[in-house]
Amino acid sequence: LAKTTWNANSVWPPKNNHSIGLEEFAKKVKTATNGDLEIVVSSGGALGYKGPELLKVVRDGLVPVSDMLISGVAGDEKLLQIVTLPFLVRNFDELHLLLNISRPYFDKTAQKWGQKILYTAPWPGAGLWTKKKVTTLADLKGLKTRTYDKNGALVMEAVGATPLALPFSEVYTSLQTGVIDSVMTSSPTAVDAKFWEVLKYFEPLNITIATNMVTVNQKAFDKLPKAQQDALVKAGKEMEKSMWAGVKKWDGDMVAISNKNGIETVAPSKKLVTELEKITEGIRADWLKGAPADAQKIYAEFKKKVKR
Amino acid sequence: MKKIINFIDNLSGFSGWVAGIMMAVALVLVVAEIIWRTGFSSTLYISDEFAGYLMATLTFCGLAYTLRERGHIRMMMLPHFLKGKTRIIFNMACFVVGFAFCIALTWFTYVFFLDSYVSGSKSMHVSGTLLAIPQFFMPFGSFLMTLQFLAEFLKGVAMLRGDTEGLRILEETDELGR
Amino acid sequence: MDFGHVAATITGLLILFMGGSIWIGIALFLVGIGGFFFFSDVSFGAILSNIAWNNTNGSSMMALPFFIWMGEILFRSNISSNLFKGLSPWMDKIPGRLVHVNILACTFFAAVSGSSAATTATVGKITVPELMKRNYDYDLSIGSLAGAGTLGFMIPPSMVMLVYGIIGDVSIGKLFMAGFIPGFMIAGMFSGYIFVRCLISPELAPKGDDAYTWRDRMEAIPAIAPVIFLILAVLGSIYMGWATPTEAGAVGVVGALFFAALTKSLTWDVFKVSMINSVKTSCMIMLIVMGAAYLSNVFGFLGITRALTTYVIEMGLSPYTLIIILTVLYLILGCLIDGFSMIVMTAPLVLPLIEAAKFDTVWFGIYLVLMIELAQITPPVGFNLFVISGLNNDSLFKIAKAAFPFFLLMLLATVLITVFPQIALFLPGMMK
Ligand code: NA
Ligand code: NA
Repeated sequence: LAKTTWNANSVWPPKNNHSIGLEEFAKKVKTATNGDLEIVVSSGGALGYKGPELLKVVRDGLVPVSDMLISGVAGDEKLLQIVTLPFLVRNFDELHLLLNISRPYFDKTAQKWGQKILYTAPWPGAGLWTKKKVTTLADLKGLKTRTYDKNGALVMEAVGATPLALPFSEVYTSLQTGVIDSVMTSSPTAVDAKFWEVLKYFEPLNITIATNMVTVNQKAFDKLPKAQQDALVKAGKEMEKSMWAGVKKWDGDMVAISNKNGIETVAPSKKLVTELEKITEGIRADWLKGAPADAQKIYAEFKKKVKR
Repeated sequence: MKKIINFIDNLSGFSGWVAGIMMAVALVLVVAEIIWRTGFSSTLYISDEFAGYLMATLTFCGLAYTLRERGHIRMMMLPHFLKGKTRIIFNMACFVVGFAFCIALTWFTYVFFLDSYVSGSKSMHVSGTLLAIPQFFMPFGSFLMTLQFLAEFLKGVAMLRGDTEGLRILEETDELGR
Repeated sequence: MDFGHVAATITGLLILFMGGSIWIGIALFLVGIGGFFFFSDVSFGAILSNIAWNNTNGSSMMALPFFIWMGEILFRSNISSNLFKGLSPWMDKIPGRLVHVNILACTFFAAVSGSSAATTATVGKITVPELMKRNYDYDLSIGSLAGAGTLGFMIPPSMVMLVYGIIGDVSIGKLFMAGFIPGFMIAGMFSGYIFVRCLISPELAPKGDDAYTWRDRMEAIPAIAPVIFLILAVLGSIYMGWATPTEAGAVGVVGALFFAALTKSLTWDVFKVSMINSVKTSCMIMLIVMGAAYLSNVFGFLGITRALTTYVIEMGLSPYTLIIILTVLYLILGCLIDGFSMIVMTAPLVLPLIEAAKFDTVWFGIYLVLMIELAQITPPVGFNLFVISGLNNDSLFKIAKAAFPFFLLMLLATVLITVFPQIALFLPGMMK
């Protein structure tokens, strides 16, 4: 049997959990196929990809396997934007529920883009990392916050703050010099950027909780012998399980590192979260108006299941 | 033939100015954002994103002009030893290589643009811009550079004929120039 | 795949296209296409357009045309010649005279710009014609510019440190702090070298006709003032929190226009020519940036860098031997690929072994910046060489030869920083 070697792409640093996960996935596949299918992981964006293009990249078979942020590639496929809606899910369990409801639709979407989802893996939720303590809605007013996408910007605008889009590489110095005074992001990013050197507080608001998916090019997949296909699918299922099981610990570890270095976690009050949900209702409603029918189905079913 | 050469030269010149204007627009945009943010604690929302698009478009729009003005650099060791007609023919061979590469660049960036256009790829930032719009300038600029390589080749033909009157002929200098 | 075969093919193609006088950006693209074509079955074209888009579509890249434009305005108005008139009386007594302006100006601009190409282009635009006009020694003026221009990466803000910090999980703030002393040290070494060279042979920096008095020096201050105010405005806009380093480039252009108008040298022609010329320089650099990124991408896809670094890791060496071997490796890689790609491709593999050898990761960041600075001035792929060649039309090798003493000085700085890591680690150690 001929040996197959595949490149796999991750745009995150090698020590990031998603990169580690992809390496682990590669190892599982290698073991299960007795080394006949070898997946070589290139992390840190070494293959020159940035993120938004990855749906096309895997479709065209430029890399057979890639990890991608679902919200990152959602500019190509409106359905996927459902995971970018702010304050739709409140915790990992609700996220898991949303992803489970969405999965058949996402699978269909992936198929349309000539690929197959091997596994999904969540990120810790996006909160606010700030210089001053935020406990009420009024405290949010006047913040100058770095946001990374449209919905993040709309949330900050809705609470009377100024959302600013800056290249990530300029966030640190912008915090130092005062161009911005807060950042909307998740705990691993905060640790990567050593935010404790320039910020004091973390408000874990779970504004959105991002999820990655690892996909394989369908044609490349179909070319494999059945046993190797099964090994890929099986390894994917195992990874999905362990990535979802590990996310709380990952988040906890990252927050703990931040705390140890001087960041104070400010748990949001129920009142604040409720107010934020209310104030951002228009953002979700606006999106839903122009959303594909499948997205509306997902949304309705999710709402029904969480009884909100 | 001279008409074609001068037409292409002018086209490249025009798109060079378009690139310059894009740079000026980016300047105004960025300065306006600084003033909005610092003076009024507000934001234009799009300045960072559009500065990126403008950078891409100005790069591609300026490629052909830069070629016309001998702005793209190359190692001049070999041409340095060549004289007269040999040198002209050698440079023409280089133009052919450049021309061939630019055809490929035009084609592949066109496919890339078309893919974005057909897929309706949008930016995930506030503007939700159709990415095909800024990406259009990639095949556009590459095509102009293809034409400019053709024009430079034809200029070589004119030089071999010894009839360059009314043409814009620039030489890279390998001594301390400018 | 046989890596020796791959390396030989790629080197052969590089020599063929570069030596065959193909435009450098295009030559890099062609070598990359060759690599994909011969050794992999991925579509080189789709990757090509993707690289072209990803490496041009970014607001932080806008800093390049902005800072070049600012330099063009200074160059075309009489601000830059004023700067020389103003600095002449001050530098006249120091052996080396105006060559020190290269170092001084680069140090200042490095504190404004995160890129070495932009620093070199901005300063070179002003100093190269002026030094040539005054018959200064070619090697000393061009070499010192090429060397000092690289300070753009060492003195913060620095794009290289940001990239390394994110990839290597290292504090960016500490990296920035760590860059100050090595940056000023290298500037001092350059100036010291110029001082000594010109002490021995004063004809390298010819004395002008005038004998300057302190009164001349005082009267010269208004001529220098616009540039100082401009740097203060650019630096101020960053440190007051008004602008990001990229946006500060725009502040610089507006400031340069303002002072050109103030000195009555802003004509419509100056505006137009400065604008179209910065388009030209930016496009030249961006074509090479795209080509270099594409070629590095081939190395990534084919696993060449990975194989190379893995080989070094497997040898199991003492810390100093490791650094010596890494330095040789980086010097070779630095000849062929651009600095950013060099970090992106090697850091993930080299960092574990650096940590195993008990080197500090902040220190290693400074070391990497030095390696990239060296790569900036080694042919055939050296960005400072490209920029200077774009300014004076000279061959890369002529410029590289002029820069060679400064290359050696930076190697000496590497030795010093390796033997005395405190040079880099003192300031970050002061942070809480
Ligand atoms: Na700098
Ligand atoms: Na080099």
